[in-house]
Parts: sequence; C-alpha cells; structure tokens
Amino acid sequence: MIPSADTILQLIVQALLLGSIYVLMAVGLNVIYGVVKAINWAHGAFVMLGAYAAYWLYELYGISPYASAVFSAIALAAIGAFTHELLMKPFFGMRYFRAITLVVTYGLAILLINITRYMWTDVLRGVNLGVPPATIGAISISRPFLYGGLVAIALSILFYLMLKRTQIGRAARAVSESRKHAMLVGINPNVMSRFMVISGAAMAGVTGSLISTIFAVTPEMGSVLGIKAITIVILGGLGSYAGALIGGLMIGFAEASGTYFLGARYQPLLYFLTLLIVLSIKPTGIAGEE
Amino acid sequence: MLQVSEVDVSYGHFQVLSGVSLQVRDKELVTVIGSNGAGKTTLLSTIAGLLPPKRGEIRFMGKRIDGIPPYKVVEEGLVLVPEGRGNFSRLTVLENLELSAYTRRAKERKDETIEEVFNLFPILRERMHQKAGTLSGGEQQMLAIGRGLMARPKLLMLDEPSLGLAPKIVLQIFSILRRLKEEGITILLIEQNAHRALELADRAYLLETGRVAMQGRGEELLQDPRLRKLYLGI
Ligand SMILES: Nc1ncnc2c1ncn2[C@@H]1O[C@H](COP(=O)(O)OP(=O)(O)O)[C@@H](O)[C@H]1O
Ligand SMILES: [Mg+2]
Repeated sequence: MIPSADTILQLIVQALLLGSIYVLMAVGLNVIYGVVKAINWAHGAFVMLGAYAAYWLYELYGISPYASAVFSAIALAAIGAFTHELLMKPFFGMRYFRAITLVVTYGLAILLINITRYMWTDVLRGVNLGVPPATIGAISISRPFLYGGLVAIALSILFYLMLKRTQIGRAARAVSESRKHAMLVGINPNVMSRFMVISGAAMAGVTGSLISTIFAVTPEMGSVLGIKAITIVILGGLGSYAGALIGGLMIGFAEASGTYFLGARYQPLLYFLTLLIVLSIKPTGIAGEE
Repeated sequence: MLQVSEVDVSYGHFQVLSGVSLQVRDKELVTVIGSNGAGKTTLLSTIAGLLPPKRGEIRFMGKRIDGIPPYKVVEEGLVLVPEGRGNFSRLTVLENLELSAYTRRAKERKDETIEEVFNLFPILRERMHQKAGTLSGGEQQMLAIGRGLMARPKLLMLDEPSLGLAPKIVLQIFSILRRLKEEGITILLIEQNAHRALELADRAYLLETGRVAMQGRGEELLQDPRLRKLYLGI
C-alpha cells in the first residue's frame, strides 16, 4: 500500500519532533563529552530518572510533565554534580582517564538502572496525558510529540546561544579545547567542567520528562536510551553541536519511518545500519572533526 | 617584582631545573636564553603555576605564588603566553581576545584594551570574525600576544614568540616587543633567537641544562666570547 501525501507529511513532522527530543538528549551527552572527553555511559540512565520523576509527580500529584521538567532538571543537575565531583574530577589529568570515565559511568548506569528496578520493578509505566491530537491543516500530530519537540528545540537553541554568546559559554568552550590553556587565561577549569556536566545532566532530566509522555517508562529504558544517545553522537560527530542536531534528527527519522514501514521490531536494526553506513563513509561522524 | 629563588623542578625522577634563581624588576625586559631542552619552558611553566617546584620559592609583588594554581597566578597579574601560543582554535579571534580579559581587573578595561590590541596588530581587526585555527603562524603569534595583553598583565611572560616564523615576521614580532617595552610593560622573554633577544633585553640569563650559567646586562652577554661562539655562532 502506498501511503498518501498527508500520511507522509504527518510522518515527517512526527519524526522531526521525536528527533528534536533526541537532539536535546544528544546535546546533553555532547556537552559532557566536551569537557570530560569521554562518553557518559550513564546518560540514558539520567534520562530514565527524569522520566520516573515525571511519572511519579504526575501519578501522585497530577503535575504536568512539562511543569515537573523543572524538577527533573534540578534533580539530575544534583546527580550530575555528584557524578562530576566523585566519578570524573578525581581522574582528570590521569593517563587513562577517558577509559576510566567510560568504565566508571558504565558502572553508574548499571547501578542507577538496578536501583530503579529494585524500587519500582519492571512494570511498564507512562504518562498518559489523554489529550487529543492537534490538527494542523490535513495532518494531526500527537500532542506529546508536538509539545516535547518544541520544548526540546527551544532548550537546544537556548543552550547553543549561551555557549556562543556569553563569557561563561566561551570559557566552557575554551576548557573543552584545552584545560591547560584555559587556566592560563584565568579560568578555573573545574568550575567550568562542573557547570557543563551539570548542564548536560539537567538536559537529560528534561529529556526524560518529555519522553515519559511518549514511551513506556521502565528501568530498561536507561540502557536503551543510553545506547541511542551514544549512537546519535557517534553518528553526528562526538562533541559537535551540529552533529547532535543531524544525528538526532536522523535517528528520529529512521525510527519513525522504520516503525511505520517495517514495524517497531526493526528499529534497532535500522539505526545500527545507518550508523554502519555513515561511519564506513566518514569514521568521525557526519559533523565530526579530525 | 618577580623573584625566583633556588628553584628545583623535576618530571618524575628526571630533574630539569636545579637551583634556578632569577629576578625581574619593574619595567624591565629580561630574557632567558638557552639551547633546546635547557629547561626554559619548564621555568616559565613553573612560574605560571603549571608545575610545582620541588624546592625553592617564587614571589611576585612580594607575595608567594609557588603552589597556587595557574588561574590564581593570572589574577595576580602574571600572565604567560605559552609555547605553541595557546590560542583557542575553535573560537574566533574576537572571542579569543574577549575571553582573555577574564579576571575582574581585565574585564573592567576590556573594550579599551581590545582597541589597543587592534591598533598594535591591525591584521587581527581584519580577521576578527575568523576562527583562530585558520590564522597563519605569524597571525597566531600576534593573537597570542594580544591575548596576553588583554589580561592587563603587570608582568608578561613570552615563551619563544619567534619560533617557527618567517624572518620578516620575526622582525615584526621583535619590533612589537620593543614597543611594549617602551610603553612600560614588564616582560620576561624566552628566546632561542639569542642575538635579537639580547639586543632588546635590559638583563639576561643563560640557562644550560637547568642551571643559570651566566647572567648580566644584555650587551654584556652579547660581548661574552664563549656565549658568542656557542649561542650566536660568531
Ligand atoms: N612533560 C615532560 N615530561 C618529561 N620530561 C619533560 C617534559 N617536558 C620537558 N621535559 C624535558 O625537560 C627538559 C627541558 O625541557 P623544556 O623546559 O621544554 O626546555 P626548553 O624550553 O628550554 O627547550 C628536556 O630535557 C625535556 O625533554
Ligand atoms: Mg621550550
């Protein structure tokens, strides 16, 4: 069956909105990568915690996930600060600190996922807002996608402008280029890297709130989303803002179209295929340097 | 102004500086010359707080600064333009300059200083919105010196500013250094280009395998027969 033009348009819009949420998740991961120079394996687990926060606040107190996103952001910022001080900073400057960070955050991911499983079991949960889709012209868009996508786009742009336009953003970029040379300018690199890890974790928290209205909330989503986030940043190019944008949208697309045409089962296959093809053409990712 | 006393520095068990003492007085241009591997970069890195001395002490404006981190040393007004320039290649020229006015003292006079730097290096004004990584070697060095000035240093330390530059650009860099000196900026200059450095310097130190082998006024060292033979090739 050939889908109609409206169906395709609807699919595209939905894919872009979902992709935007992935962009926010990937920006968070990249922001952390920028200063730590290692992938935060716990990023998916951070998103999962944000999603659980949204779920419980909605379930127990009826607070909308869009409002409680602020709480998710703060809670994950605190976890981010803890991660930076205890699991990252002690290893800065060590010879194998990238490898150490990778292993340590992998351990953190397993810990967080299993604590969640222990406390709240594997039961599928989720925030059902029960709102009808928004109709725009001939297409109708699910509201969780619409709102989630718009919030994600706004936050990604805001953070981008902060990095580009403010002195703190310049300082953060300087630290991600060279801690040593940043110090010679008068920047305390630990303050900046703490700020970036906190920001990245807070973005993961917000991503979780947005995603709680779209996907089932389970402990397992911590590892699924973690792998997804890592796929996106490797696809787009590690540490690159443009890379997070392109990678996030591509995965959103691959997923939405894959689900429509092939069924949800083939999703992972589809984005690993995308990754394989892109990396065999450009090993540093689409927008990656070096 | 700067007083380095009996400083030892090592990388692991490998001792690089042994009992190095040196001083820089207000408004002086002091140079440290020495062959490759003598320990010149190590000396400046230690003063800037990047390396801890094993022994000895470093005072700046009467205050002990050894053992404090580099970003605090900058706040004291002691600024290093490091070997390899230390620009941020992914930031634009303007962003590099603005960022380098990081301390409160420097921030207050940022706009005024940027204007001065642009007057000193007009090419930087033209390249203002370009990424620093796209500049030529000479422009990179100008940016590095410009960044050093943005910090409003009381003492500016430069690690081989002429390294790897074409002779014409080297001349230009040295004439800028002369101008900075005339404007009353205190400078500690490290150079392999011993001849030019000694001509410019009020006082000079010769570093040989981590020890001060000779010191005196610039022209005195220029006249020394052994130094002429070994370092000036005359
Ligand atoms: N990070 C380092 N680790 C170990 N040895 C070093 C390091 N940096 C420099 N050295 C050694 O210290 C000595 C002095 O180096 P350096 O201070 O760079 O000399 P210069 O700047 O005069 O050329 C050299 O023998 C060099 O090999
Ligand atoms: Mg050197």
